[in-house]
Amino acid sequence: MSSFPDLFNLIRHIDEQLTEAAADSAALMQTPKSIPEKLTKYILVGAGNLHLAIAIEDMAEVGPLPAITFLPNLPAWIQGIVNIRSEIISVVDLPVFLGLAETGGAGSRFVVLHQRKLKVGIRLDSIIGTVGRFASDIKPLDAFDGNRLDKSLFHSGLLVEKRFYFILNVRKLLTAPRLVDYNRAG
Amino acid sequence: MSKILRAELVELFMEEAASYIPAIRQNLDKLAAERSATSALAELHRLFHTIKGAAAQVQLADLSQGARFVEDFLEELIEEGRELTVQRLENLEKITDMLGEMVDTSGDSSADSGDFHARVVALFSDTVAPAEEAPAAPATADPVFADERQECLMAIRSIIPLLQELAGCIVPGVAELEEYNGMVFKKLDHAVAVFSTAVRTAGMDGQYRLMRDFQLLLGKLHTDGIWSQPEVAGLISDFFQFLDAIFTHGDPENSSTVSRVEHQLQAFHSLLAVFHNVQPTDAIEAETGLDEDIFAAPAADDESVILLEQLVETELPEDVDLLSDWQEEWAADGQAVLAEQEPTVSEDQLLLLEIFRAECDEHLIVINSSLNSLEHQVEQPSLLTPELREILSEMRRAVHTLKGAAAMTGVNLLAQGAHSLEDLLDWLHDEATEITPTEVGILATGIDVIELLSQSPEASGAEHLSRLVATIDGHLAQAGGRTAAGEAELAWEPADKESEKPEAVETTLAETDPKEETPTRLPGESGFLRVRLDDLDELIGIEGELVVARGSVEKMLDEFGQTLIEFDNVKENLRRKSQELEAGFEVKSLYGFNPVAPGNSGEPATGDFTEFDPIELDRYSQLNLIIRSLNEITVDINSIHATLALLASDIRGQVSKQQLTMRLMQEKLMRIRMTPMSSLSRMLFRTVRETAKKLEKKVNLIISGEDVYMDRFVWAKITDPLMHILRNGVDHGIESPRQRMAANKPEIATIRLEAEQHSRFVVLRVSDDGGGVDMARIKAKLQNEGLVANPDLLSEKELIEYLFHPSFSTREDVSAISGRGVGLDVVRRNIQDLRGSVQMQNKPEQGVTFEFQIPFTLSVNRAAIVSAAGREFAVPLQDIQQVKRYGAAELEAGDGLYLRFGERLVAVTNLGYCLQLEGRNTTLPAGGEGLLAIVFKKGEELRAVSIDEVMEQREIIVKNLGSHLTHVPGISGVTLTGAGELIPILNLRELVEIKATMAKGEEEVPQPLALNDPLKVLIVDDSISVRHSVARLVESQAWKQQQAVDGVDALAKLASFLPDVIVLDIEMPRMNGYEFKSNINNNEAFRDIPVIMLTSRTSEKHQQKAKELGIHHYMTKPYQEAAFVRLLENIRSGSVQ
Repeated sequence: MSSFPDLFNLIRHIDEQLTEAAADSAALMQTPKSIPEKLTKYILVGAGNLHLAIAIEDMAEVGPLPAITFLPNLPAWIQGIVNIRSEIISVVDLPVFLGLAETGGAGSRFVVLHQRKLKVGIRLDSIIGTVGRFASDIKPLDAFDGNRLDKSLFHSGLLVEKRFYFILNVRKLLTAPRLVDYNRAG
Repeated sequence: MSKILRAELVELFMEEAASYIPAIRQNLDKLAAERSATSALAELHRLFHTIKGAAAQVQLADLSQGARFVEDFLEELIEEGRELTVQRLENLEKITDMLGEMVDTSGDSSADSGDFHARVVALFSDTVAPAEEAPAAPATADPVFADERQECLMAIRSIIPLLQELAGCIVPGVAELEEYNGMVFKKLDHAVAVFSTAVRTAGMDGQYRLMRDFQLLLGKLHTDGIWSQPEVAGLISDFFQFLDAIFTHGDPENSSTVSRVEHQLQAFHSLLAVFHNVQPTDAIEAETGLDEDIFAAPAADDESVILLEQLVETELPEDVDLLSDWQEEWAADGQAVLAEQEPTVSEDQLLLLEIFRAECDEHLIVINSSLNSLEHQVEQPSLLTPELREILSEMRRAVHTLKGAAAMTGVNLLAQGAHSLEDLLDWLHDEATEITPTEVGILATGIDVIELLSQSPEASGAEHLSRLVATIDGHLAQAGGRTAAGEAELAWEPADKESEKPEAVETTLAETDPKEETPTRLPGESGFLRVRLDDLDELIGIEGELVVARGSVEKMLDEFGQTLIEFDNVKENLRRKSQELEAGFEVKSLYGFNPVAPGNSGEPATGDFTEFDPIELDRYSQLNLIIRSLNEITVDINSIHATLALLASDIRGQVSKQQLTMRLMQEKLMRIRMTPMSSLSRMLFRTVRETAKKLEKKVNLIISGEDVYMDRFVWAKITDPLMHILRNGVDHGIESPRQRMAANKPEIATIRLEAEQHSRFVVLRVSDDGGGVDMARIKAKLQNEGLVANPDLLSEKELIEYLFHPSFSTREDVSAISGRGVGLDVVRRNIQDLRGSVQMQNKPEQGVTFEFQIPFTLSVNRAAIVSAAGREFAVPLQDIQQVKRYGAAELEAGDGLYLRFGERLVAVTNLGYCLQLEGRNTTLPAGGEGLLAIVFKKGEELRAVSIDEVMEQREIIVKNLGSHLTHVPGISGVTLTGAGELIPILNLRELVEIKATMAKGEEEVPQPLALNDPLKVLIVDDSISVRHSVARLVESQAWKQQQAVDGVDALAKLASFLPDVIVLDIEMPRMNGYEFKSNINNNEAFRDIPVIMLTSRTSEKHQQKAKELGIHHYMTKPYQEAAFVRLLENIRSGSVQ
């Protein structure tokens, strides 16, 4: 055990070290870092009258729509289920879910969105292409006529070849109470 | 915490919190100016963190929780590198205002008004925050940043040895140095706080978690007043050693390493629980030594220096080297615990605990079985016969083994409990001459405590354990002087704390059994292997995939067989053509078809042997050679066909064998999931025992059929209903001992639980010899509540049925045991969920019997594939009572459709209506063709659904409906065909129930469903390349296709395949395209099917001819795939005809 004078010095030394370490770590936070802007890749799709941009990292599958197996007692915006390599995925008609259409579409394209363990398929009419955009390229929703849209799911978009594509907030969509609790919501 | 002291502390906290408000506002201003000011965010986080901790310290829980909410939010922002939104900034400002108001008042009540947390949460919930787009994450690949980070980490690391040394300065157990120790402890705590902030800002989240947990531990040590105990210094020192070890690790953030240290911290916490129980917790004494609040403000640095200067003059006692002595002693006690709990990684420890629990269950089964025997045999003080001693011996062996296993695994309280119980068993077996019901009762209580300790965290069982130990010790002490006539009384008072010395912990862990030589059986030595249920389920899932894969192979085999048949036809054609060619032209070819020279040169003959007629001497022409070659090719093809046919047969044989093997494997795997009833016997015995004890009744439970097996899940579902029935039986059915004696019944009532297996069902019967159901009371209740006008008109069966109604109870007062009226309806529902049934039989004055019939496994092995409204569905065979085509004589129409099933009329609904595919059918089928229907049980009643066809019966594997559709009413899963198609598995009971809830009399028009069938294409072309090319394109769009080689073939295909569009060539053998279209134009069923003519003919003439026949789409080969697909899509969507 240290004697008192040594303890006194020990504590003083600890304080000095802590101050230095705290300053170092604080400086770390303030060090201007050369942060390259992140390029996000999106797939541009069409579903009904919606033109959407979906971040590729939020997608598990994209391609032709497999045969849908119908299930009863589900809301109209759930069209059924499909088999993707022995995995069962539900198929959602997004315009109907959003209240933008009354009847389901007949598109033959399909994208599977995922959020943690939840996977939901969205039926599409067309897959237009892919683009890569930086965060600074994203436009706010207010810049275009997005009043009719659910702002919790769409808050910004991309302008590609003079057409505005709403960026779908996949996390919000897949955690939307109405989607998750479909039995009650209808 | 004394009230007086608390008030002072709260006041101090208020002052402290108030001092933080300006700093909070300042940082909020910074963020208002620049919302990405990370230093301001970090500082805010630190301030709320401090407020949280300080509030917790003075028991202002609501305020602490509110601060914690803000802290977590800020932490998330910082970690994700996100910007604070305007809305959130406003929220924080409001929260600061709220905080300011709270700390401005001086009273306790307003400080903890109880709604600060709720208001904070509400603020954050009310705001629908737009998705906060994460700005780009810091580029950790930036080398400059990485270097600086490394330097920071080195600086942090250099502090660890200093903190270790500081921890070593604590001198425990010396009263005069209490204040000194407190100062060191406080300094340590402050240093740890700053240290943790530093590691956090350096991005070491794992380290930060550890430091935070350690800081909480220090706080707890202080709160519990045991921070000055000798062991604590060692704890702290060890923690810093771990930390140093982590920092020397190549990856300090390595999750397994961090987890390991976290585990140690948890062990410390557990150890604290033990120490806490045995040490006097004199919080006041501890807190009077507290100078300031433990979560020191920066000013505490100065104060510690002042204190230190004041203490300089104090002389230390001579022998102050107690630290190492205490550490050594602690090492002998507590360190042993830690050593035992030090697996390679915490996951191993969890696994060990799992294994231990499984082993514990096994031992408890034996122990409970012995206890039941004792309870039956020792109804009054009895001499210890050899038989009784044998039962005690068996129990003692199991308890001893359990004790050893618990000690090895580190489940210390359970080990203590087992040890105490073993003491009693030792005395009973070796020294006592008689055994009393009281002693059996103590054993029973001891076993209950052990059960509790095996299931719940140790800390919560400590109190029960201490009571048990005290009871047994007291009993043994008294029993030592007991005469043959006397009995010791139970000592239920809590034992004097002073008698509960830490040595009790030592002796439990260190003692070896001197008498019993039975070695502790380690897991793995018993011939059994414990397997995690998850692993087993996974195995069953894999087996299911194999079954599906086998189905695919069978389907491919079928296609292979089909192809072989086609091959055979082609082979035959080839052989015929060869023969025709040979017969018709071989002779002619001898005359003038370029005769060739002998040999294989193929050179023209030069005119030798001209004196011979060609028939007299064979000479071969070119054609001749070709004919001969064709014949040889035919023979070769024949041979290949034979080989393929043999192969197909062999493969089929192998697949059949595989089917048998997999069925065996499936049965074995399902069997593994099964457990016998004995796995829940002890729970049932305990239920009856406890309920009888509470109600002061005497009841024996006799269980037979303990070796009946059921799926584990089924047992789990049925346990609650069984326990409820037993409790109900003891409460309602069994009379009091006095009443029973008066009724000439044995004083001790009996409840029997019998289990029997019948085919795929298990029958469980619970019967008691109580008073039965009081029908008069049921009638009275029905009348009083207005449920039935004249209950006397109801039969006994109908009256009993009311007992299963929700909220029906004949008990005047609701007790904790029964009578709440929510029991039997839930019991029935639970059983029905298992696709079982429950019946009740009453014998007045003699008792009641409940009979459950349950399928012993929930797995669906076989199902009938049926079609309804053009779609296929699977119905599990075990749900079907009967499938039959009911003739007109067996059907009745009235208020709906009914069929006659035995003596009963059963309501029939068309399955298509239940599935929302078609309207309701309430009329009798026309033409006397009868009605194909499935009869099934819905609860106790029979129902029926009519279907179109039964396709087949087959083995199925049930898959769930994916991660989104966790439950769809009426659908219990889906199965895969070999071709990958999905067939929903129906839950008929649910389906008809959904429809039944709809109001009657509604005109229900089925909504037109946007059914999304794949496009069906018939490809008619004699060119195999074209057919395959188009087929590939169609299938790539997930559409269906069939092929035909010509018009005749196409007509044959139309008999079984109705396409949505036909792709038609013009020139084909037997029937060309024009002929085919003319043909189908005369058939109403096919006339309107859109046709795409796909041909190499481009002339206007050909196109005109096609138009005349009603063909609107004309494409020439080679075609553009994209355009072709677009055309098909347009036809599908109806935008073109």
